[in-house]
Amino acid sequence: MSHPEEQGGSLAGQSRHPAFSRLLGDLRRNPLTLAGALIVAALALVAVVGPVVLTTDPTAQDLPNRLQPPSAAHPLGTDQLGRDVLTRLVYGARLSLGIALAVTAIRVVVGTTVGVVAGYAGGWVDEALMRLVDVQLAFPGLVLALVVAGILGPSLRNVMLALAVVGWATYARVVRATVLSVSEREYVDAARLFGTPPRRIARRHLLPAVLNPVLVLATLNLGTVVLATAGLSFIGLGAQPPTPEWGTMLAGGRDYLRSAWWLVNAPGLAIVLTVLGFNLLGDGLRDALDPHQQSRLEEV
Amino acid sequence: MHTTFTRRRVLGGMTGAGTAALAGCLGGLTSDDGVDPPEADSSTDREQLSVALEDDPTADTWDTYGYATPYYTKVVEPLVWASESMETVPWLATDWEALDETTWEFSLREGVRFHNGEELTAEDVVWSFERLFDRGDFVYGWLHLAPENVVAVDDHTVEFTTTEPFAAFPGTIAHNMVCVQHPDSADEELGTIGTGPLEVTSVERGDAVETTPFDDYWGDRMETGVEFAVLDDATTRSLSLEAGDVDVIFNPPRSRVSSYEADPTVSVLAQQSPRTMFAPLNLYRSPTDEADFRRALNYAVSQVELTETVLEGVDDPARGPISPIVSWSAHDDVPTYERDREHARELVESSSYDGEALSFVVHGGVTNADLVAEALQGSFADIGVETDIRLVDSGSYSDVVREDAPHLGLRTSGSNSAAADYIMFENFHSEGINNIQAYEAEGTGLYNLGGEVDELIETAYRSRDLEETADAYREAQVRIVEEAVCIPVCYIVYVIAAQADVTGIDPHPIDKMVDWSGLSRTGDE
Repeated sequence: MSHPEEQGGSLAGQSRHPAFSRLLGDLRRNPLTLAGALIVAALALVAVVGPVVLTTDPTAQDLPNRLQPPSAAHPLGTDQLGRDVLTRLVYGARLSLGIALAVTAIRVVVGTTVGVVAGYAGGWVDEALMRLVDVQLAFPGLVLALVVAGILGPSLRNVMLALAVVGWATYARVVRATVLSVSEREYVDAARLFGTPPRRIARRHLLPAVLNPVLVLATLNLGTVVLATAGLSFIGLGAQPPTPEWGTMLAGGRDYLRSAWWLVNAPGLAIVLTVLGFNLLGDGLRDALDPHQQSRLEEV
Repeated sequence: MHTTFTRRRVLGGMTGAGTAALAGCLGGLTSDDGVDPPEADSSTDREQLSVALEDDPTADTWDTYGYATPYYTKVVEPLVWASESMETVPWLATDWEALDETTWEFSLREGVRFHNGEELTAEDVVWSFERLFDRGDFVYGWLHLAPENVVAVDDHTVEFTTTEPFAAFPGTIAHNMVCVQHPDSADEELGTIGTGPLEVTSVERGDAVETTPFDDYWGDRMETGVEFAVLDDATTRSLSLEAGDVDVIFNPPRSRVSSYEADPTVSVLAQQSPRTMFAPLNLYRSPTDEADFRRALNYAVSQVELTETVLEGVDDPARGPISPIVSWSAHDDVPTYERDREHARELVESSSYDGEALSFVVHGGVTNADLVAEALQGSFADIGVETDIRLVDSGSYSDVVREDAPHLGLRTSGSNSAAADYIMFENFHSEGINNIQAYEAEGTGLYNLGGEVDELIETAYRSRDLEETADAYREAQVRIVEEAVCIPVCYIVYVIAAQADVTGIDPHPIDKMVDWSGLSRTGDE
């Protein structure tokens, strides 16, 4: 008889491989998932390479050339202070994606930790942590983020904190449910019988099991964080001038809806594409990585 | 049959539907489908015209007026008012006289009736001032009055005794907030009972105050009622005007003004106000405590460029902190800082500035202040000075400035009364509201040069000789500009845009005193 950890390891390995194959197959079969992946890849490329390639300063003002429509010199025109909109959009992509990744990472770490501890420890620890999750989920996320950002004061760092503080509970709940289900499995029982330390069980058996749902949730979450960051910046709680952030750009262009359409449309389209890209990709990931969910939907 | 409804498919469908909906909307706008968009309501039988304001006319702050703002609405009236040349003119009082250095006697107009039909008496004035004192301690310092210092001498004579010689008293009470109400206004059920040409018919908190003409008004009776509604977003105001949802709006986005001027369906009125936008510089924090560094910041800025670009040519470039519409403005006397980046850089290099970003707190409630702040930030960067902008909302600007004492601020300051004295006192006197906290605690302040400037301001507001007052204020402004206490940005021009068929709007330098008495829609008669 092989060691249960090896069994668990091999089971996890077996489940990862077909899921990955299914994902690749799904990408090939489904143009929408592929589109989502391409959009996200393109945005990531722009965010990483764009600021290196572009030589224009996103904050450099040129008042005599303000509100210029798109042209060869300024493909997306210039804004109210004569700054190049394309350059600001590219730098904004780095900010928006960077914040989305950071916020989601914090949510994942906190939520997963809470979920694993609650699910595995059980008893009063589970009760206490889940009530905390209930309290957190009882508030509308964006409203709570608004309050937190309002109290902390307007800045991008505070927006990140606010969004991180309010978004981890969903992860905790999903992870706890998965952990409760997995911890009943025989290979986990066997590991316990063999005297494997709880920390090792969590690392080798529980965390791999929660990886897929967390990955799907995180991908879908990235889009909502981009949207929430832009929303908070739009109302003045996020990026401060002259930071080229999409929500701030949208707010600044509002008064020029009729006279300079590119000011709101450029960042607006960037936000729409980003959210759409993450949603399509997240949905494709879920179909590939969560066959139970897929089969349930197919029975409808 | 099994149907697969994945989230991806739904998203794809929604994208398509969204595109179709957008196309449909655009099609609707251009009437390509042969269906004309609904026409704006231009009915001529409407008895009420609507005015969209930037501020909530029913805000908590107006609790002593039954939550109906005394600004704009002409429901309540003061004893005296400001003329278009910012002089104090009779209103509910026909005459006033200084009996000695601190005592003022006002004679009331006879035959004035409140909206409840009762006649105005001196006791009503006393009651109204007592109610005004309930608004807070600021009233004492602002009016230099104590509650017991307002006395009814007879039915039509009121005597005021100021707590110190205060020559600007009549001009100071020529203010919408110092209005006369009937004592029954204390009854919340009845609401505000004033003497104005409009009486309140309803107050929808957070939304609008509706009024109707008062038939027994002592002056020229109005023909139409007015609904004063809040639309705090400039873009929403302009879109509402364009859609015909409102008849008159205050301050459309600056970017829309030139197109409105060319639009035959909209009439535009632009009026210079006694309000100035400026960036005050902290005189007691390094490096803005150095006069030459402050001058460098002034030399970095072109007010003409600012007003012609980010302010869309609406406002006028400022040279000093007081608008030329105020009679004692030193606009023509103050030295000017023409933009000279080379000289500015030299001054910065010879200063103790170490390259660290200066704190720059901006009053977010001021129209276009965010954009002006960014433009200023760019101008400072051109001479090697970095700034960190922090936008704060209207309610917290003063507190943030007093607590954090930033290197720079950006705000507007102006007068809502015939007397503009408090602009000088509150901003630049050591005991003014902006400076007193640090002045009393540490002998410093924020924007107060102290010494001779304090004396000039005191001389000005105590003197009964108008010439002496003007000379002292002008001298103080010259000193303030010479020492670069602030960077003047613009003299604010406010804009009213109305449907072209709406007539009879008479702008006043003080926007809150716009005269609606001739308001009507063409063809209503």
